[in-house]
Amino acid sequence: MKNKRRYLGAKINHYPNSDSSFQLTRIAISGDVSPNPGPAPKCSSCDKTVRKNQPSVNCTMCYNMSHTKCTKLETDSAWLCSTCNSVNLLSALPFYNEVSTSHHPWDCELSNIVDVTDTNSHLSAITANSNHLSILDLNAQSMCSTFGEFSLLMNDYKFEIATLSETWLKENPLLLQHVCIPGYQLSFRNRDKCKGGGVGVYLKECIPFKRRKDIENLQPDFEHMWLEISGKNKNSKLLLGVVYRSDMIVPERDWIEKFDDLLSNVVPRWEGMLVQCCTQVGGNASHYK
Amino acid sequence: MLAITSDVNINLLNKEDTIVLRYMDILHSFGLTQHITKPTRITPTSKSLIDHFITITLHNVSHSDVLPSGCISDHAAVYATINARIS
Repeated sequence: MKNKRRYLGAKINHYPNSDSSFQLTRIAISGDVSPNPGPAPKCSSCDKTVRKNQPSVNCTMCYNMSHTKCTKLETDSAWLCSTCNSVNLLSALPFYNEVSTSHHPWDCELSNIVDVTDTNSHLSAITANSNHLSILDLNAQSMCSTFGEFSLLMNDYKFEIATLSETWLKENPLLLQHVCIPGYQLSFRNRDKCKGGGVGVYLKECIPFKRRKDIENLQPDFEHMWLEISGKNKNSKLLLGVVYRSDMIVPERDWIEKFDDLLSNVVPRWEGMLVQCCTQVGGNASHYK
Repeated sequence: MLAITSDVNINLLNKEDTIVLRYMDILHSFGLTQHITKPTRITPTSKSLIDHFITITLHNVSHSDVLPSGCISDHAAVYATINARIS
């Protein structure tokens, strides 16, 4: 064979001892044979080309080729390359695949961070007290971005009331529509003038409530919200307050005195009213509504 | 019944801090109890108890704990079940 000729122009002999031959150009113009067979396979262990005359072995998982002498295999047995082998070793560890097989796919995200047994203990504690009112409080740090996870949390634990701070919401109807959870009614106090902040409450639809703006107006520069939730009878009313403070808006020392002021206006009056209602049960207590 | 959930950036783990003492004093003077005892915000360098659950009387709260909130925020959620006769 004349090696100086170009690859495609080379003549290929039919027989070693005759002149009859065919040319690769004829095959190339047929159109269905790739003229470029690609690089020769590299050994996955030593990174050198595996030549045709060198004994080689294929990985049983990824089919990468390797020199037989690099694998140090003595017999012609099944062989795994180093990459596949490390994956394989991982799967031999206990609890490998545990997350992906035993839970819903949407649990995976949470169970990465939350211990599963821990979750169950919280859930059983809540269901054990299912005749009591369950209240969740969370610093949400932007409702928009984490609303999906939050609604999953509510779906899992079914809290009757959830109070939120740092909702970062604005008075925007579309935004407020986005953070609706079916079965819950919501009430928000948003910070419109500057970013951050904001408080909000989710309540199950079956819980009637009344927002007490009069209490909120006692300290207008506080970020707080007060809801009056009516109970089974007059003296089992619940006053629910959500209070948030950030150092940027109100400094600690000012805040604490105003907080004292606020509580002194709210607590004795609220408890006093309940006591009054209590003594008037059976009588005409309608003017205490 | 009176329940307040407060997130006021006062770390109750700093028991000697004057602000904490004043805060607890105020709550105490109105007969209020704060129920959360575990840290609610844990970073690699610090632990702080800054999310509070306050009610007027101790015996109304049957259970309270801290619920890890996962990827929602760097604060844990606090929850409580209270014996309130809500319809």
